[in-house]
Amino acid sequence: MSGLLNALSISMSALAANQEEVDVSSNNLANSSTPGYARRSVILEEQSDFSSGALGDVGDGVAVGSVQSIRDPLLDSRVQQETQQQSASQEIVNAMQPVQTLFASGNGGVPDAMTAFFSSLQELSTSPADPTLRATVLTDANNLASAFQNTAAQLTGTQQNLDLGVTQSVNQINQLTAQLAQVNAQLTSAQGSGQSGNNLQDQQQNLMSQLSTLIGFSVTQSSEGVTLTTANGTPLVVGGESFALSTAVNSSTSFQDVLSAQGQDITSQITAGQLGGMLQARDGQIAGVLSSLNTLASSFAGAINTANENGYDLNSNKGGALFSVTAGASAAQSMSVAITNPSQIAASASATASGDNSNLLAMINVGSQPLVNSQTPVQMLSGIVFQVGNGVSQAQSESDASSLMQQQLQDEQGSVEGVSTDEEASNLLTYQRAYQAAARVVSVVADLTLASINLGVEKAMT
Amino acid sequence: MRVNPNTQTDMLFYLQASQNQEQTAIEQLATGLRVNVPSDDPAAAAADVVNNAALGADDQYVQNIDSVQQTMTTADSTLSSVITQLTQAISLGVEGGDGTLSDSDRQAIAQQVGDIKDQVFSLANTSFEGVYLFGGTATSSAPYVTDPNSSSGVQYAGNDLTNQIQIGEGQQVATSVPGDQLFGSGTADVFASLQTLVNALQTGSSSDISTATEQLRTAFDGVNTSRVFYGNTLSGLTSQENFLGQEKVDLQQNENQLVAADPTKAASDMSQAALAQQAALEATAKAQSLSLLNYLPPN
Repeated sequence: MSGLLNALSISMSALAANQEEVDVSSNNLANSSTPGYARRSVILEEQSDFSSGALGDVGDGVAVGSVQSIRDPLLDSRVQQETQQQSASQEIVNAMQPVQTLFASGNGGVPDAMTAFFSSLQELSTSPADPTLRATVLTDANNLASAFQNTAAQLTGTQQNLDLGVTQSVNQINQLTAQLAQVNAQLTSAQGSGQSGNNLQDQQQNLMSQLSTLIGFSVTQSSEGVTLTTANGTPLVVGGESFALSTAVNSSTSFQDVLSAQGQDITSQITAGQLGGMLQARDGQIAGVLSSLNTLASSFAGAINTANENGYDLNSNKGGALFSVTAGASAAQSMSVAITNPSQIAASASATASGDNSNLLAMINVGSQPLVNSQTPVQMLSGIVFQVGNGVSQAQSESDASSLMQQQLQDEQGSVEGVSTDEEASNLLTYQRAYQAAARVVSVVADLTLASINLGVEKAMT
Repeated sequence: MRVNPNTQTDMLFYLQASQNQEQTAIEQLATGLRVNVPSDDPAAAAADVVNNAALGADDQYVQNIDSVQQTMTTADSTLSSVITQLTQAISLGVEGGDGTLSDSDRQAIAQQVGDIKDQVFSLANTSFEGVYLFGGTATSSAPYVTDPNSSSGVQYAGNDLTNQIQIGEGQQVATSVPGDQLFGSGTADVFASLQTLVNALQTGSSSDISTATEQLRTAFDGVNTSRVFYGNTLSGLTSQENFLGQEKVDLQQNENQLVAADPTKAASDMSQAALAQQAALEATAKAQSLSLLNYLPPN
């Protein structure tokens, strides 16, 4: 009797284990597209009995040892790192794309306007007193000033949009780190009480991969759970505690600085994630282009002004400044034409010869003479175009390379952690058969028990 | 070996990649440009800025040449008329030096030479589109004015400056000869010589007349010599225009090399990308139907 009942209890344990396997498989299938979910697997353990038979251990059935998430922490962290790089370079590309169309040729930007300005000066040199040609020079000077203004305004506008994005990103980061700290705490307490905390780990992964698109960080494991720090070591999350970043307006740039929870300015140290990309574009790429543009605007306007001031206008008066420019950080944006009357163009080098064009030639020379760092205005413009194009192109290739790498890593991650419907279907089949077999054992045991109760009398009990 | 069961993201990645390639090819075909924004090829875009400026400058040099050509041609033909007038005055001087002529004949010739002087005076004050041609850079008022205090009766009011214009990179050319250089200055000038001849014809001896005629001939030679400047410059401008035309062709070729798309390559890129995309699409669609679940028996 005890032998038969033992078989019954063994098959009951098998039925329970198979059911658990079916449950896990079904959960895997249900979460096959849940972000952060790693497939789970049932770890079965053989139950051994203490009563050994004459021929040795029979065994005491099966028990569910644990349900494990199949995870590769190294892969997870590499995917996060790559996501951080990719998000940063993609953000730079996104920010710079609209900017660079300002510098594409034939767009009426500064390069085109400058060529037109020098052309009309040349044209005026063939007939320096001609009022129509003088008016054209003034129109083209205005167009050039507007081109500088517009380009600078667009660059500044892009910086301001990025600045807005910085604040939003910091808020999102804080929300995620707070959630992560909460999950960390729950996980630590769950694991402390002997639970696997698989679902909490999934949540943790999901939060970390969301955070990876926003900011660069590195992860270390400690007894109190995961610790997240930025590249320069500023803590974001330590176990169950999160450290919120904040922003504060920098009085000299008037843009938002990013501060650590301790109030330390860490703006320049954040290079990865969307936030890193935004900061790089705002303070690096675009600020650089703007600064080159300002240098060109103020030096160019200064040289043209000096030339005009050296000559005499149509009314034999000494010439004045042609352009008005505020020196410094807003030179390009402040550029305007200082004169309104075309006769004020000082074409002549002599007070008495209104038909003289030699001062115009001096003005035209500004176009072909070294202006700053032994570069002519056109060479400076060419440099700016390279600066813009190269910035985008570099960020683009970094983004492309990161995307490819990210894709490959995600493939590897998927090959370890991903839920395969085929695999689950095949497992289900196995579990189904095992369950059927165990159920069959139950029915066999029932028959045998019946036989033994009835002692061979077949019709007594059924 | 276990593979990533989630083929969707892979498929999407490659679909996007081939779509990107196709878009690039379409953009190149549509605009004819390989470099549409600086990031397409930063170095080429930067070089194109310099190349465009050079092209713009060449266009303007041609424009400069066209502008001064008209003025200089007018000046040249005006001087041609002056030469004709002076040639006639010299003939009249030779005729007036003939001792057999009567006084009244000489007075009549003096009258004709006086008319020629007026003609030359008027020619010397020729303006083109409101610009006086022979006053140096004092172009807004007539360069020659009547002056009763002067022996020739005419005074030069212009200056001795001349404008230069750019006709090429670092190339400048003078566009006029100031009047005092063309028509001479002091006693040797055209107007003084003509007046001396008139005076000699009116009151002088035959030898006075022939001396005055010789003086006029010298002044005539001066005009003739100075006038050569216009002819030479004009022909120089024409050859410069041809040179600029060739240079523009070179610059345009350079621009093509820098930023233009190769249509054949773009077209072939596009069909390749389209093919790749079609394949990726088909693979994506096929992969969707591949599942063990589809092959398991219902029960």
